[in-house]
Amino acid sequence: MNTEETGRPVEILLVEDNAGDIRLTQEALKDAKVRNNMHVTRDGVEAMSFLRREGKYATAPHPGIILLDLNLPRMNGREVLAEIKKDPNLKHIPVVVLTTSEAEQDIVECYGLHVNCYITKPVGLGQFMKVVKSIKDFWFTMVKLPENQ
Amino acid sequence: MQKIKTPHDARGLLNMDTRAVTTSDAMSQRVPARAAQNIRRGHLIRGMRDIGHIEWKPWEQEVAMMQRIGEQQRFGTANRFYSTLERIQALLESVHESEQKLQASNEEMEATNEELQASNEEMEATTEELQASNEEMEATTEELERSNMYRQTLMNSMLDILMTTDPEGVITEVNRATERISGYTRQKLIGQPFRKFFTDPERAQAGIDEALTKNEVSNYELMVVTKDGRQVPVSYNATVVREPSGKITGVVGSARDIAELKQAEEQKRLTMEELERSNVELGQFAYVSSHDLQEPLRMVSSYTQLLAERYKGKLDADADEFIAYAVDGANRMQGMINDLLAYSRVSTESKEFKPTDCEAVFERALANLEGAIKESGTVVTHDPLPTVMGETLQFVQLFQNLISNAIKFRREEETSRIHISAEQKGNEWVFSVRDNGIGIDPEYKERIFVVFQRLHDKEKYSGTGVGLAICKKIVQRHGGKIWVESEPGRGSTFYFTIARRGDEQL
Repeated sequence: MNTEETGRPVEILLVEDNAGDIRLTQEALKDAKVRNNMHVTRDGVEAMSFLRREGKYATAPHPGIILLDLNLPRMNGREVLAEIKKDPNLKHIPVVVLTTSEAEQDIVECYGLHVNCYITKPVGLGQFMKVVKSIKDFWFTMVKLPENQ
Repeated sequence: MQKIKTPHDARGLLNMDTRAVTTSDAMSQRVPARAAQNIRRGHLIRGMRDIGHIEWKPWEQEVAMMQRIGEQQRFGTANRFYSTLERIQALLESVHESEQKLQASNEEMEATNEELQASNEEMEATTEELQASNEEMEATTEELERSNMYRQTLMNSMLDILMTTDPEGVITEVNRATERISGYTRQKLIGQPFRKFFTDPERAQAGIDEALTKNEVSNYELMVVTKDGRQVPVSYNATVVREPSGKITGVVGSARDIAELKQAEEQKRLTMEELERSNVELGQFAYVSSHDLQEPLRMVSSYTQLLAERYKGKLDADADEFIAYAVDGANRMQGMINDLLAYSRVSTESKEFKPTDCEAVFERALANLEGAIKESGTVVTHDPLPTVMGETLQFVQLFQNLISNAIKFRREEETSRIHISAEQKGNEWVFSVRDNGIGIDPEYKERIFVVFQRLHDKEKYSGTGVGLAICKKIVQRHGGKIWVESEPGRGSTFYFTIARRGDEQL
């Protein structure tokens, strides 16, 4: 995996229904200087279709990381997480839950479903930028992941 | 003197004077002296014998004959006299005998009489005794009647159903309340099986059986079916009735009409449920709304910040100022929502109460406030603190809020000092957090504990005005009270109470 201006851009799947958050994440990634191809699905069903390359997603790339919100229409983040981690073709993809929920119950449940990491969206813009940068530093730089299939 | 010549003339001889003259005349002439004397003396027999020696003249013979006849007559008279005497004698004897007999029988009678008297006396005594016992019985009967009346009055004065049954559960007595509540008369009820008057006869019978086996039953709930078909819930209490020998003779039971109680209980339950529900709802509402409010606010805040970062100095001075206000407003609102969340969490995230060592709680609060304490140069001291039952994290927050409050409202001209102590008062601990800060006008003693109530402008003292409200909520959740005593310009002391566990030590 490579980052910065060199190498292949990172394929990111962002599962988020809030346009403001989508844009904010894009801005943050831009600020963190991550070369990326960001794909966005607005609900859980869409996300699963994307990952399984169903219908209009037949040619969708295999994402290197999934940023998942928990509160989603149709199929919520916990269900998406459970589906991914049950699927032998998908379960190796790191899933970062990025949510506003600080509820202990959500945290415990997500780790129970083998989430790779759980991050609470900070309220302030500055902290949010920092969080996205940390994700980039950790998952895109430090962590060694299997090569994309 | 008349001469007797014919028997006819002798008639007067019956007159003794005549006879005597005649006889003496005759005697003096022809009768030897001795005979005459005899005759005179009346010894007629001897005289007659002497007379035989007399040479009688015919008339004299006639006289003699007459005399004999007279003699015979006299003799006969005498005989008759004697026989009469004898008869009298016999009569007297028989009278005597009778008298003796009478006396004997009299004596006998006397004895009998005595006996009779004795038995009479005995009888009298018995009668007296009988009378006494009769009186006694009368008294007892009266007493019995009185106690019976008393019992009846007692039974009838009761507002509760009171009834007695035999060991089989057949009603033997009821009071007026039973008649009133059931609608049946006493006459109708007595002799009927107890269980017949309830919605669940088996349960009613089981109530009696339980009393019989366990001696008593209490607060056994049953439903009476009244004569007009209404159902009255009652709480039944029963005790077995025993003879002095211990043999069970029946069951006495009372039953209270608990319809009103039930209704009130139901009402109370509903109200409590409603209250509970609305409380939970309110808590959830506060939590959810403040939580959900955060989402759009995050957008406002993030994008105004983005605006400020990327466009500062690129628009005009007005734009910069407007953006600055927008950012400030969003930030403040964020602080309020966060505090509101914290406030609603006090009751939404309730955990079990555990023994909580307030010394450790104090240390944690102090560690959390380390920066503020150092920066302000505050000296925090404390007395030994107890272990109480509570939620540790909430206690940390309680201590932390009170201490940080004291630091915030310190007086700059004096070293800020805070002292924490706990004192036993009755069955609770009274904690105090004393400072030497600016103090609080007594007018605001209550208001400071209300959410978002502030006494100072936010330029001088930051904060949303939730800290003390959270303290109050925490203390209330632990069953205590919180209040403040203060002298403006000299300092404040916040007090709160927490129930003692009973076994805690300092």
